[in-house]
Amino acid sequence: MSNSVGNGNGTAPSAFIGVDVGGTHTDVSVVYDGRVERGKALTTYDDFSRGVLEAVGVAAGNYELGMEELLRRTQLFINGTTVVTNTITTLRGSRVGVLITSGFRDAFRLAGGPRTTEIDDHLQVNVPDLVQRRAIAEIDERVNWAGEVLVPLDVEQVKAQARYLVEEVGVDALAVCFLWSHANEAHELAAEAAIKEVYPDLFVTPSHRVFPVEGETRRWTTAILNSFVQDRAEVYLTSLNERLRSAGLGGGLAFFQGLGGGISLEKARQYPLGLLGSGPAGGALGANELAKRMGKRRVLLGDMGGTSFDTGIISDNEIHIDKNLQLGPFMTGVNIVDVISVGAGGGSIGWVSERGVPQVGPQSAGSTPGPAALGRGGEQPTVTDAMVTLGFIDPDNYLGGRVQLRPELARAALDGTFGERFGWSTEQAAAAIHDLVVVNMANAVREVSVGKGHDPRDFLFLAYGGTLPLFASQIAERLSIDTIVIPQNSSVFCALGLLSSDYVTRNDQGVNWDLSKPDGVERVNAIAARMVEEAIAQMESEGFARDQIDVQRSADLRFQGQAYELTLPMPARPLTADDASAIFDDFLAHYERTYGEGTAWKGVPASLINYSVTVTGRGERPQLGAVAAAGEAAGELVRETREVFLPAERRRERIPVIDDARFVVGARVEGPAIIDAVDTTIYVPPGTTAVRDEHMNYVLTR
Amino acid sequence: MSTADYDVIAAEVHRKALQNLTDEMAITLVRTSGSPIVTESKDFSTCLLDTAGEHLGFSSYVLFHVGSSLIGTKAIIDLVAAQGGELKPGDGWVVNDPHTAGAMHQGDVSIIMPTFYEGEHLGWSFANMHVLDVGGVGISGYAPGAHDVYQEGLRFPPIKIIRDGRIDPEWETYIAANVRAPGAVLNDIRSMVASNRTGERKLKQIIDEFGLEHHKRYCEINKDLSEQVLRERIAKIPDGVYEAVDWNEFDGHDGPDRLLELRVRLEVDGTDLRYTYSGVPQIDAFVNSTEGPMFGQAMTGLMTVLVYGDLPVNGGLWRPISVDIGEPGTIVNSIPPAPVSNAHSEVGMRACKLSKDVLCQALALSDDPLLRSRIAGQHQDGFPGNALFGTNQHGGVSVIFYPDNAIGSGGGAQTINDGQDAYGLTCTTGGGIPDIENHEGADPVLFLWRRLVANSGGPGQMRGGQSLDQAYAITDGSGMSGPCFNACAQVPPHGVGGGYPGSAGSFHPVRESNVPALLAARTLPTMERLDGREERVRSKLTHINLAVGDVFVATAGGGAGLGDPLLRPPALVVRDVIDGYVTARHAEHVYGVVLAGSELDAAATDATRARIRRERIGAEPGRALRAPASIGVSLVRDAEWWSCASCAEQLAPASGNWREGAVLRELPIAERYEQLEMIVRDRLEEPRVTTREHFCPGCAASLGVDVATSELETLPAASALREAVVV
Repeated sequence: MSNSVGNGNGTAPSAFIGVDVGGTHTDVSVVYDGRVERGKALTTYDDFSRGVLEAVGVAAGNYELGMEELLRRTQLFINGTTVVTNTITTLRGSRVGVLITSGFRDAFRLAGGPRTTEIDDHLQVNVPDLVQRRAIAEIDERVNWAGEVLVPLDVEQVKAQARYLVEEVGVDALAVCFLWSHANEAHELAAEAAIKEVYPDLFVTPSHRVFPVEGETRRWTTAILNSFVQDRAEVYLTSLNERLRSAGLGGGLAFFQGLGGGISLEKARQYPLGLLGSGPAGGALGANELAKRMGKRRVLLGDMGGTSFDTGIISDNEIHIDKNLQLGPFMTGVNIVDVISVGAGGGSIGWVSERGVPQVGPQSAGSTPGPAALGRGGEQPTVTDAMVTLGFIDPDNYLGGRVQLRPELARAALDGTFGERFGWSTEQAAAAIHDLVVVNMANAVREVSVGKGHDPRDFLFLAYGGTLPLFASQIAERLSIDTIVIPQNSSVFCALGLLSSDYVTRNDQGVNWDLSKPDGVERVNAIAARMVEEAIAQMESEGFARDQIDVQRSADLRFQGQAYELTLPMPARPLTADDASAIFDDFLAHYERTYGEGTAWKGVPASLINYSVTVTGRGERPQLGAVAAAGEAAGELVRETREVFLPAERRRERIPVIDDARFVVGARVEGPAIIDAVDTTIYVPPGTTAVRDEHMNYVLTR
Repeated sequence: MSTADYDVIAAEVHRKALQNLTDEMAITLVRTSGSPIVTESKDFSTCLLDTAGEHLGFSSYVLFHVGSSLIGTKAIIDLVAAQGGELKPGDGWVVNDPHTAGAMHQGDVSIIMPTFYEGEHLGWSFANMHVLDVGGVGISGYAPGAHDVYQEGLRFPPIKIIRDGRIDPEWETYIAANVRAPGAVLNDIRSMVASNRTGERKLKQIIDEFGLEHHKRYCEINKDLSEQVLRERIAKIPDGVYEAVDWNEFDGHDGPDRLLELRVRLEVDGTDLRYTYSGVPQIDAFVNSTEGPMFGQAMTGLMTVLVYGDLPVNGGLWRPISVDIGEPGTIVNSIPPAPVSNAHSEVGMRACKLSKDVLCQALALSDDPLLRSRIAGQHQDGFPGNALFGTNQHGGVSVIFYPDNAIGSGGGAQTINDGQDAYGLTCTTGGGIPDIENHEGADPVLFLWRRLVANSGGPGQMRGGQSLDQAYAITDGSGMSGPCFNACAQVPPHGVGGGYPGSAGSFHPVRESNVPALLAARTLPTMERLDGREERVRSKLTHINLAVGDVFVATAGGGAGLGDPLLRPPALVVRDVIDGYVTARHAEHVYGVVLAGSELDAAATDATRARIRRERIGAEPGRALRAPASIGVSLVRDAEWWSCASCAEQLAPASGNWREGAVLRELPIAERYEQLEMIVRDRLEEPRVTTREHFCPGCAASLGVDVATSELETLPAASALREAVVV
């Protein structure tokens, strides 16, 4: 079956469905018939596809359609999933065997040095074994730094070791990890072919295929992770595909990657590791699309859930990609949308540390026992308890009124932990929790901006997720950011983001061109031409016409002797020997912009280390957020007033609660005020103005 | 606790901001430095201090720089006061002298700059890194062949080489003329200036936010809070005097092969800790230590044990602690002309282990289970290192200092898990091992293997962490040469609570190897196929020449064990045997575990464990061997007796040394290690090094395994104990 995009089957399917399988909920966003509808279901860990179909059914109901009818009318179904992330965090994946260059089988335990920067020795443990030591077989072969074969591969040894690993050790996937395979892939390819002769259906990951870049620890770890997640990813991909197809889906099915774009079922089967971290990437993609529609180029984004706060940066409408993802203890070569996560959510617990200092998080009360106010036995005060106490969360209307909160339990928890000890009123204790969680989130936003050389004051803060709009203003204030945007459909923003995704693949290749030796350019050109050709062919096989395919080229450069690279765009043409000095000058300028004037190394040549090709297949995408005209306020904006304790001012005040439905485009509210929206609550502090823009966003300015 | 009279939230937010500041200084240093010594092995440090020279924040990379930053800054404060000069923004001093300014060794260069806010001098920022070279007879700052400090290369007592944020051009010329990699070294210094400027910029933002008065107040509050927590922890350590002995190895120059004794005495007095170090007279070789390395390494040992949970590192931590290094002229307090270019890694690392040794003795006697759980086997703390210089395959020169074996050292066993493999040295938090492809791409080397060493982790109920072994052949250029040094070849780190010492480190060249011939025959040179003339070389070698075709083999040592190895669950030993982490012979001899094929042979294991216990005490034990109530605590002490924690056998009066009541088995360490298939360098000269295994006469439990010289009668035990003062 073709996975092509936009290929109708005669009934002119026109719906787009985005599904984000998250840790707790499976969220669905549908664009069809000129409007957006949502669906939610609990994530079903035994078979993720069950929850997906359930959530699609809910959304279909909002169109008064059956699930199967909606699927029949669907042009493209894009799915983001936690299955790969979950396989790694729980360490429950395939039994992987490794064929490795003789002499180097301990690379995974050595792990590039496993010690963390924590001083405490009790926190220094070995990197978990993704492969058993007896499942690592050594192979005689050797390639040198220049890619020259020193010792040829013994194909019979490969077959014998593969047989040993499969028959004796019982592995169900393999990785082939040879030194310098990024410089010369012949041995890994020959080994793969030899394995396939014996076991045609065995899943094999040659390391150069997933990360053909210098540095064996990352390349090999990426390879074993790809094989490690293969089994569970395969089960998921197959099950979802079969269920959707048998339920009537005739349009395209794409899987969303942490890199920020989709890939087809077939490609996902070969490179399941690419599905890592797709949820936060969906949010970032949606944020960027929204920013483009608003004509904004620089965005800091934030998403707060029950246990954590995610934040990332978009500069010049480019989502920052984190190369070489550090995944817990694992060094990988995965490229992923750069979103960092800190333990700051509604369930984060307030406590007093050994120094007698109040703290919030990273421990979370989760859903069991949950915040004290839930009355499920939680005795420790959480962020949610603080916000109930301050009056920002309406105990009678929590989660749409489905859960009745008990504010007296929240107050008791706050008093018990903080009140007597610090001589605080309950509200002061709640305000302390509020302040600390704001600081923790602001520090994370600072890390993704200042830490990467950006001034947060030049950015707007885009805040989504159900909880963050209560805190967004204070986070922004700490960073001197003057504009905050809270999108409509805040709570399913990630799923909605998936709908704007294109097909994307990215390949990095180590080339190591010494720019002081311009005659090496032909080798780089040959590699680049092959990469582009292969990438375009790949995208064409996904059903895209040549004119739908965009190719972006970039390169990583560093001074010789350095370990960190900077990335520069590369021209869409073969390089010439004359380009070497121009590229070097560009690199110098970029270096000093990044690290400061006068920091560039004097008299040291630079090398172009990696060449990267990103190919995008652009299909038809749904029209999102058509510009709305200014409306007439239908009635009084203020629905009621509510007494709240203003955290910054440390005083109790009765403030207006704005009716979201009446807060039409062009309307304006001066803080202090609360806007009660369908799936979120927004706090507008004193001195801040909120307006509804033509994209139906709430825009807060100071 | 009473109600605070200040805004506790604001003070905590301020503390986090200062922590971010030192972290951002570190990020700047890593990103702008090209040196793999910084980017991979993280051999650097950044911190912020106030006008009194107290730490306000410290980025935990190389921990012992708490010493160089404190003492280096103090030296500058004194210098400025003496000169009566005026401080200006953009001023900066370079410091690398262990004798006058607290440096760890000359290779670790500090840049220290004053901080200001609206014209007011507020304190100092500090950045330090191991630069690629400092000239002299050594390479990369290591000069095992030097007989005095003047041969060791550039030596900077505090010198103001930076004005208006730039290195004085005259000094640039001077430094460039005296080091082997002038471009890289000057870039290293610029990176440190950039790091300090980041600190200055961030500090201004923080004070803008909090206000100057609040900034000053919160700095004091946060120091007080750290001090208070540490004092509360110390209060739970029994008062008394604890002592330990270790030996620094020096077999360089033309001999003799010396073991240099050093000791520490820790007095726990209420909430104070007083360390007193002593040692033999200083020698004419690079092992001698000075105030900076002694303080820094004593605190490094202390921090990894006592800094856990909620205890930010700042100046408050040092207030309960004093470190006395005695009269000048010894290896622990050397004076010019004593060479000191490995002060931090020779006597310094022994000082680190001694600090942890006495703390573990004391913590084991605490009533507090959390403190008892902090005892641990010793880390290796010493590594086979070499620095090389020569032409490479790219037509240039390579200056090599591979941290691989340092960061590849095994960690000591903990009460909660086995020691970490490739833990590194105690001081190297966050350290990394560079990839083989990085080395082969840059330098004229071909790696033959890099692997974990079987049996390298010291045996114990919890096993020590395993270590890295690697070998490379010189395949290109015209040969490489430089110094070699190994601080821990003969006297390996000892275990705790009956756990055994770990393997030691070693290195040797294989001359005129068959690697070129094997490669010509398109055959892989493996460990099994490698042939050539294996050369026994000294552990401190002024200069080794490696010709094309020679192979250099370097093996790091492992961490020490915790608790009696007979208490280790057999299933864990079986797994280690199957994985090849321990050999069958090792498993049988020290763990008493026997396999039948790949399964546990339970009957043979029971019989072997029973036999080992009989052999330990030369008789059938009268009591059962039980796991002590607190893991790794093999001895208990009450008002009258030292007793066995397994069977309550009384060993010695409480005022005496528990060893008096134990059954002793003493063997030359080389002999014992040969039985156990472990690595140690045998001494060919007196005194010998021995293992002293002490067993309970009642249940045959392993109570403690000492590593000592044959000259020393007995190791000291805790004395003058009083009950802990409860605050």
